[in-house]
Amino acid sequence: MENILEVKDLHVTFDTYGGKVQAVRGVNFNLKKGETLAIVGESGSGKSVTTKALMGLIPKPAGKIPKGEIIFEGKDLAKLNDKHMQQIRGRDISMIFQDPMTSLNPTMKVGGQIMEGLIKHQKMNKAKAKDRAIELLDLVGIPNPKERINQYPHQFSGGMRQRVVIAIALACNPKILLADEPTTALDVTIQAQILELMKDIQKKTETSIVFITHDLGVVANVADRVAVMYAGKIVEIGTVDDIFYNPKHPYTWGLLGSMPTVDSKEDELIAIPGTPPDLMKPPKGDAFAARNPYAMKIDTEMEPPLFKVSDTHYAATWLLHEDAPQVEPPAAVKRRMKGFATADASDEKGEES
Amino acid sequence: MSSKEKLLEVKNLKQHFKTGRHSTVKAVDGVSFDIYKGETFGLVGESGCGKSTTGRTIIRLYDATDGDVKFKGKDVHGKKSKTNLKEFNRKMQMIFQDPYASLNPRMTVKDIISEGLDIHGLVSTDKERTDRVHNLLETVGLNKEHANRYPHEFSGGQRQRIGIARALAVEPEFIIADEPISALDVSIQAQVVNLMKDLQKQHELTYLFIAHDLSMVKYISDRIAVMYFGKIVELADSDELYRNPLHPYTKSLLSAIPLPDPDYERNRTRIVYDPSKHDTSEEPEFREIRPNHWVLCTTKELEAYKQEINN
Amino acid sequence: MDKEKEKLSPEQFQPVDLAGEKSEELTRPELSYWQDAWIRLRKNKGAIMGLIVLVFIILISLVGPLLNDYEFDSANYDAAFLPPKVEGLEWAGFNGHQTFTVQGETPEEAIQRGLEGYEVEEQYLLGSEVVEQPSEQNDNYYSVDIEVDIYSAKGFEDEYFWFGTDSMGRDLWTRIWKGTQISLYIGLLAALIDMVVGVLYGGISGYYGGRVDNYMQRIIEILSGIPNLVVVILMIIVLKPGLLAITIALTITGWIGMARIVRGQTLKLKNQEFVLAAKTLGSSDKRILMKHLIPNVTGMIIINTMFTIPSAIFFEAFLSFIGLGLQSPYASLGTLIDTAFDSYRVYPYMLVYPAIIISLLMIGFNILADGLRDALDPKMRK
Repeated sequence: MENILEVKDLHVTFDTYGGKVQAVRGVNFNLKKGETLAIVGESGSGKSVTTKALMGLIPKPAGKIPKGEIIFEGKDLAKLNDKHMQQIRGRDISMIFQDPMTSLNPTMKVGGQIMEGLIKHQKMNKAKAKDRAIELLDLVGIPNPKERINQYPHQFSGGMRQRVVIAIALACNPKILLADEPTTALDVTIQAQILELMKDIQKKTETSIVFITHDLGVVANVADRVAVMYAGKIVEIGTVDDIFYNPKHPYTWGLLGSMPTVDSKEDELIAIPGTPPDLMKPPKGDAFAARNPYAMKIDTEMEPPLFKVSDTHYAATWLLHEDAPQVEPPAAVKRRMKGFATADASDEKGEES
Repeated sequence: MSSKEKLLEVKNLKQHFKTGRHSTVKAVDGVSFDIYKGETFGLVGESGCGKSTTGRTIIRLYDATDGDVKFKGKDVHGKKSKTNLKEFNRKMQMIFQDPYASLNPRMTVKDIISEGLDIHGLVSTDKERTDRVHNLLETVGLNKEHANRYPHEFSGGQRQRIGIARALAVEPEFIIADEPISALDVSIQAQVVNLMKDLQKQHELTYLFIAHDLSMVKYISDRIAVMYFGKIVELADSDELYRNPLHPYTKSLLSAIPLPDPDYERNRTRIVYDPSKHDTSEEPEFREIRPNHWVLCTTKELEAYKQEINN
Repeated sequence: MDKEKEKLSPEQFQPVDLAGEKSEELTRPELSYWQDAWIRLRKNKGAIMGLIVLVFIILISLVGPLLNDYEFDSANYDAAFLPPKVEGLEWAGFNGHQTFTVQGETPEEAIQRGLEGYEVEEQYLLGSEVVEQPSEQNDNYYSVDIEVDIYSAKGFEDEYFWFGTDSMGRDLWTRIWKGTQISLYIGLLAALIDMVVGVLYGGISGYYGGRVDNYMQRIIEILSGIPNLVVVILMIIVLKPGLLAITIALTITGWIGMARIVRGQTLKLKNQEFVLAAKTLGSSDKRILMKHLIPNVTGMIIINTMFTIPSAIFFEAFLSFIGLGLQSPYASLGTLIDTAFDSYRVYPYMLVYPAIIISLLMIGFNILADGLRDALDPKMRK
């Protein structure tokens, strides 16, 4: 499949009064047409900042992109000026934010907010834009779109508001949809609805989605591919099956082990000890070393490169080096890996049928 | 289970808030349950269902509109003398949701943790106080160098552990944990949950664990109650609840949790809860379907549930 | 990759135990809220300049009156209207020379009339300059500037009035710094009232809420409905105009703004979880108010106080200027400006110094307050 977006060695820094924060420290990935790439990580891992960089929303002058490229349709978004970026924002790339309560303008009718982008980017007249807005509300599953279009955001429930936000994001048929924790603020039942809606829409429109979340359950639900971020870097990237059934990075092990599954009542959860490093002074070597029970001497000296596991699967840990000792992943992770072979087989079957 | 000592009995607890001259919100509307000594009782539900209000009313942050709360057989609500209140405050403690809002930003960690010690006069000298604080910090996996720092220097997980140390300082028997992990990152959630489990063993604590994350609740709880619009709709042992959910709301809630398992997620079917499908011929009551499994239902539904569970 | 491989030796792949040791380490330096705020304030050049100017003015206002032998209220009509004269600074214009503008049909007549009019003997005339030729507009008179050594003319050759003297021959240096003291007193008083009455009133109103809050807010509304000026005029009818009247007027309404801010903050804070936690621990209301609520509004209190001080100083100056302020012989910057205003074209030095000082005070306090807001505002904090 063709790449629609390529991010190469992206760095983002922020100047604060305490010093320079290296929020993103060399991120590489590409996004294929029609796929959903989930970026998982803890708060402060740089996942949100990465998407903001894609949207050209890094607050200036404190935030800077000192290095790296974001290639979209032959253009480097990292170097575009505000005016050009505005044309891309909303039309080619649009964003869904975390909190549906604050991402809508409370003093403007819902219809007007959807029509705004249509009138600006697609040069539609009002009547046409209104028809399209009704169509969009229908698409995101809001009943009675003709009446609802004239209502204000406070007349919508949380889940319905997030649907409106999605409708606004979809208005101009964007090629890429960036979703920054779009379901975190919602209840589980509403979350399930929104996830279903997003998958449904993706099927219809072939939009590529970058989905930011910290919830591995959500990742398993929506993602085709997964990138795991830690301390401003991607530490492991692969298909959803690679990551969930054959994880290689000890941080991914930790993440998977720290979530209870339905059958894991007896054993303790694997907690990753400690806290993420301070990105004002990133540690030397592997940033995860201090929390890694499998840490080796080299982790404190040199940053691990991305080792290739398979064509789709890469991980940045020295454990994959040929000289590294063989280590046993935690029991909970091993249970997952056992299923990998069978899962793989059933997967291929699924694709054939 | 029933042979065990009841630590907390909640009977028909109601908490109505006046929102206007003529309108009230029934945040908690007739909730009854018992919590046994040494167990973890999970209370789950979606936002606005009244689970947090239930916890806060039990610990007297709000005055209950109606109903009884008995702690170790003694009524804890209503008028009480100051010494009785203090005693109650020591025995029952709370862990809060937001690690950023639950610590006073102008106090050092030492002052935060020792606040309870000072109020209840549990230490007499400053040396004793410092030792106790260092001890508590160690208990929750922090070290004594942290005592003179301010909350803003800590990460969310560390703050939450400071909050736990503050609650532990007065040596409570019962702790209400109000969504203690929902604001934390996944890897940190496990730290806090493990810590809470360890502490439970060491100090023979009893927990009321309030959360909306059902997978974590199932992991930590012995029994679980599901709340919906101010009422408990189902209460059972946690395995039983997950294996045989009966109330349609519980079913829909369970079917909506995304699990970190792509295969499971691909084949998941979601059940949608439709409150209008209930039998409305009579007021539903809380009935025991089989030992220790309670569901809010009418007599007709009771029969249907019994059949369902026997098949 | 290949290059890296060569460099790596198998020993580097020995496991080490790092977890648990370093992982809970805090890498940032230990800083309290105030240290943190001070670091940020220090970076704000304007605020530091403001602070320096204020400290300087406050110090001189305390020390200044002691630096010479004149009393602020000892009148000496012979020494009236002497311009500034400083020993050693004569070259910079502080030479005690006075320039008058006089008219006459001829330049000589003008000078003569000037000297007679201002009672200056001719030997003290230092120079003269025709500034306007006769024309229709000025009835064909010449205008001539004459510069005279007025100190010698009045027999005060050995005296040095650094800021000059006023119409009653009182030393302006002493009076100005005494006046600055009064203005600062007014500012501090307003700050004190703000801190005590405003903070407690707002704190109690916000914390207890409900009916208490309702009544306390109605009282505030009534009080703030009365215009300040009306209160002052009523005070002056009852009392004599002076410091007491101004003090009482400030006391009645000055704290309202602060009370409102503290109430708002308290309302916001009292449902924060750390306050709830204190309640579940059994804290008394007093403890919660003093230990948890007020320390968390200190930033706001300080910022607001810093804005209150200059406005109170200005309020006093305004009252003095319209004649409702302090009465002679007492002086404040406002009364000094008021008296100087009548003759500022002939004796500009009387107006310039108090005006500069009050301006510096106002600017200093405002810039500093601005800087403090940036340094203390929790919204800026991460």
